[in-house]
Amino acid sequence: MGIGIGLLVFLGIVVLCLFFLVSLYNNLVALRNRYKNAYAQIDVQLKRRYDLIPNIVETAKAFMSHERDTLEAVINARNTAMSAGQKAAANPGDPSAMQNLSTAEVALAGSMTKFLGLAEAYPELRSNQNMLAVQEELTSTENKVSFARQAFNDAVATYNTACESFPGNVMAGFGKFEKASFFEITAPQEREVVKVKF
Amino acid sequence: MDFFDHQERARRNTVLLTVYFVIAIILIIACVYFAVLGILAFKTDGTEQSISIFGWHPELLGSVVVVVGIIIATGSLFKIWALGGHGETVAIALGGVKVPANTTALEERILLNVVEEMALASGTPVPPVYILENESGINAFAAGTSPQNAVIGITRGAITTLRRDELQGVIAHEFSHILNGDMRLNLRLMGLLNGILLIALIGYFFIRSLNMVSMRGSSRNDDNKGAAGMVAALFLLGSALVVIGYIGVFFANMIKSAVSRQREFLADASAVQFTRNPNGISDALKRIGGWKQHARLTSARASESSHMFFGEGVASFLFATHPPLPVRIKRIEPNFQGIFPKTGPVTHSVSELIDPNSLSMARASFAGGATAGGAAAGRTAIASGARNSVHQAALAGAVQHERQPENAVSHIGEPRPEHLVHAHNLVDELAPILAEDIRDPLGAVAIIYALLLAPKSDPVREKQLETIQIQADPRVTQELIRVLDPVGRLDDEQRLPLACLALPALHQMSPNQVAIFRKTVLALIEADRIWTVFEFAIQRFITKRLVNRLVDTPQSRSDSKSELPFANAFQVVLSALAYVGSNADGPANSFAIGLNQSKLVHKSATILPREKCTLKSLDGALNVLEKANGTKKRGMLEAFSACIAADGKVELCELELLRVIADALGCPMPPILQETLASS
Repeated sequence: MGIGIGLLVFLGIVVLCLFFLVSLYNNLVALRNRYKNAYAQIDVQLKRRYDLIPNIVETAKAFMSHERDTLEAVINARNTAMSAGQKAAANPGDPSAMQNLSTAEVALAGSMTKFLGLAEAYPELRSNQNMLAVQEELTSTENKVSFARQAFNDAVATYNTACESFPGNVMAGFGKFEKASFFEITAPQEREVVKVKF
Repeated sequence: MDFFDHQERARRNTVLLTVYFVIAIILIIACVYFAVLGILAFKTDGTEQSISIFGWHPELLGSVVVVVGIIIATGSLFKIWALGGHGETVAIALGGVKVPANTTALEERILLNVVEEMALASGTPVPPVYILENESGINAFAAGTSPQNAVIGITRGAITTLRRDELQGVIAHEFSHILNGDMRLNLRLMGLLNGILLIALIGYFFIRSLNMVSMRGSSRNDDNKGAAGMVAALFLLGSALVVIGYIGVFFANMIKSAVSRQREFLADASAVQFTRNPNGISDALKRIGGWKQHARLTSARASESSHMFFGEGVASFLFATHPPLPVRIKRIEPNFQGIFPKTGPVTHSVSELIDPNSLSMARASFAGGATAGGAAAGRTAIASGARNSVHQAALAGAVQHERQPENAVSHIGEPRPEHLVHAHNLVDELAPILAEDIRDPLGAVAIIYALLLAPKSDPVREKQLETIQIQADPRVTQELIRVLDPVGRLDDEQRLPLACLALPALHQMSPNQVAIFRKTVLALIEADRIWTVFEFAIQRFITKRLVNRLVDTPQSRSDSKSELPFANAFQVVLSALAYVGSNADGPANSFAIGLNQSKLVHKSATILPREKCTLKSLDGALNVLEKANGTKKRGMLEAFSACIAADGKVELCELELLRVIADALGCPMPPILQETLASS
């Protein structure tokens, strides 16, 4: 019977280890899923923004005929960002895709800032109803993108921590769980705190 | 049969199931016992302490019982624990991808609209929806242990082949599983099955490891006969365990399938009842028959969860978890000939975004209600056929019937088509900015804050806005300004449903964002030191569900020591209901009427002073009442509805509180239809 008990204890340990490994694996899968799902939310709003930009440029065209270069730059930046966005959506968290998207988004934000700054100089454009509506919509969409981006980055951070810290790192090595990349945009205007009056 | 009977039946099924499983486990123990005995007899043959197969060996039996018991218990508990009771875990394990609440893809939008309507109609916040992208068969499932943590999953194949009314039938079927308490049963089935499977796995592990040991032993030329005998014996034991385990799994599968088939018929019948459109679900079943992949699932995890699905996901003759398609269709459509027209992908049109039945509900405000572009065109494009007039007649009768809140109890867990139409119209009439924002995380947060603000004239509002400025994100504050006006213009009737719509979008927030949201909501509620029904509803419907889902945040679990006894908890809730929406001398009277309605608590109980009915005590009391059985719950809800009807008039806030309580008890109550709907 002595051998029997020893065997039982051994078996118990093996079973516990097995359970532990399975739960470790499942946890990583769940976390990976969570950040991928979080990206879908960004994607919807990014697409919405890419749709709004030609709209606002079209409105501005009638007033800003002298600024064709700026308008074209906006559209080009938008197209680059859009294709980078499609690649990122296919594989959220992939380092090169996320890097490309970040770069394209920063470029787009830069050209948008320039364009909107120039638009300030045209009083008729500033008071144009359509322009105001689209601009408001654009700000709201950008806020939504950045809020969803925060959720995505939080999810990526949780996943990466689980992948890097023991014992997750062992399982991550076996299960081919690769570290995911953040979606970061360090445009200066985003850091500003918006003051709001009710 | 009403909701409580179904719940009771589900519970009895579980008991019966447990009996079956106990029998199965006893048989397994007996088999293992004799196998071990046989091996011991074989091994000790010829030595002095020979064991007879026919002898009585209590200590051996004892250890077999302990070991087998431990194995099955560990296997079952592990599975139940691994699935975590959260629908989300199951959906992810099956390869589900969450549909973003603000999706713009037409077919996904249609799906979400159908789910939203069904949830609002049955009186529960909208569950998250997952799509199994890699599955091209037509299938769907509901997972989770209660309406509070339920999710709906659907295959990509179903979305591409089903029209709106068919989709509605399928979703109604899944909601019936949620409402009838089938999911907890399903989880236990999966757990027990896994426990028995573990026996076979351990046997397999024995054989594998012994093979390795014996190979190493022979290479070292170890001439130890005793060890060789031991190895042989263990090898035999391993083989026996594999055989016993798989036979056990075989029978467990049969039990699982038998139980599951019964629940499928019930869910089909319920789907017809919810939508009053037998064609929806029967057409969906026919499409499965005509589709080349049928309802097949390709995921490796599909077989263990096959019983959760809408259609037969894994081909199997003996273990069919679902009745055959023709049989299911015949129950709905008695003269079905058994011919399945060939199914192909359908092209969805924008007209499917809205519910065709709602057309007949030409409400005065209908023209003003705006939806996404194209929907208005679609609305006129749909010919309202004969079904609509039938529907309208049914509706007129139903509304008459329903003004009494007592009847509301009989609708628990059984939403009717008029509730669906009502839900659809509520959503349809939302201002476009709200309809859009409520499906985005940032927008949903802003809307919930806006809903919690005091009216404009109230000084508390200033304080609340300040709180938001300090605590919330500047992005939320910006968005809040956009939604303040449309939220202010909402009908009182629309406020709670709007909040219920927010849940899928709020689920997309990260734990950090949820923490800030929770803190701010609490600060907004506590700004005026008194609570309203709406604030309580937000607490129960939104924040509680958000926190429950987060695995990585400390859960606010009430410790059992501070729990009230049942009678006191009942007293708290009934008192709260009596105070809400009644005048100065009314509460005591309403309380007494409610008390007399049920025989649950001794008559001497009196209404608690108002100060004792705090948000916290009500919350704690509901946590206690939630654990009561079905009969008690029915009694409680009858008492509660008698209480709110006591003063002769039923106000919206009373109804809403009743619905929040019903939801907390796990008995979702459809909205009580208002007079406005009846007059149309």
